[in-house]
Amino acid sequence: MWNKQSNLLLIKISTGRITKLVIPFPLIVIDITLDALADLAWVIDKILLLWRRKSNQCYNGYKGHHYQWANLSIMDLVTTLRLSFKELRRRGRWTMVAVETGQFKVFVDFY
Amino acid sequence: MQNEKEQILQMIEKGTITASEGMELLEALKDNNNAEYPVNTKLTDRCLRVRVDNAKSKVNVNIPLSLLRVTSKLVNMGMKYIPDEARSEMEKKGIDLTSIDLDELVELIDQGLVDGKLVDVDTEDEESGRTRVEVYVE
Repeated sequence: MWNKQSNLLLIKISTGRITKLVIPFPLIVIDITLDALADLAWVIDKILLLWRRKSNQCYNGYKGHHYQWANLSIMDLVTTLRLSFKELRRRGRWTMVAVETGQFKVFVDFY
Repeated sequence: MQNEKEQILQMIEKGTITASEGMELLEALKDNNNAEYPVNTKLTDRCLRVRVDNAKSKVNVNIPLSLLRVTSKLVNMGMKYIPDEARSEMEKKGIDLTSIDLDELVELIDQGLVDGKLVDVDTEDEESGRTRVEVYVE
């Protein structure tokens, strides 16, 4: 079945008639990296959980920076990043940013 | 729409138009109605568009509303980790970032605007000429 998902992130930079630069970035790379990070995030979360328990014992209810950051779930962070990335891809071909100032042009396209 | 349907039916009843013509009109009305709000029902197809246009430069930024909704979770998550000192400093100035409900904001943008503009600024300057800034949902 035809897949509408975008596969490339294209950063196009043009500075006049001669200089044109197109940087293609395969989105599948980010996809795979985020998938791999999800597993790693699960492990980090488990380590953080142990560290949090120890930290709570040591500081006995102290609520400082330690406490705040210890509650951070890496898994949630990675999941949200994956969802955001999926939303970016599912639109197919579209232009996210287009900037033109005189001869200087920059485009961020999903292809 | 109900009123328009009634008008078409009355026209058929009076004999102003034939039944087949009436049918065509009803079909057209149905199609028109579907086309009027095609994107409102599909959050995934709608974008928050930022346009800055002046004599020297043009900027177009498109952010899908569905992406805004997902990233709002990330922002909400980040709000929890603002250091207490910074938070109390902001509270002294009357700023409470945690009270901003981004989900609700996205929901309001989605529900309340079919093609209305959130921001529409038109200025003229001697140096940079006419500048137009528009923020809208499409």
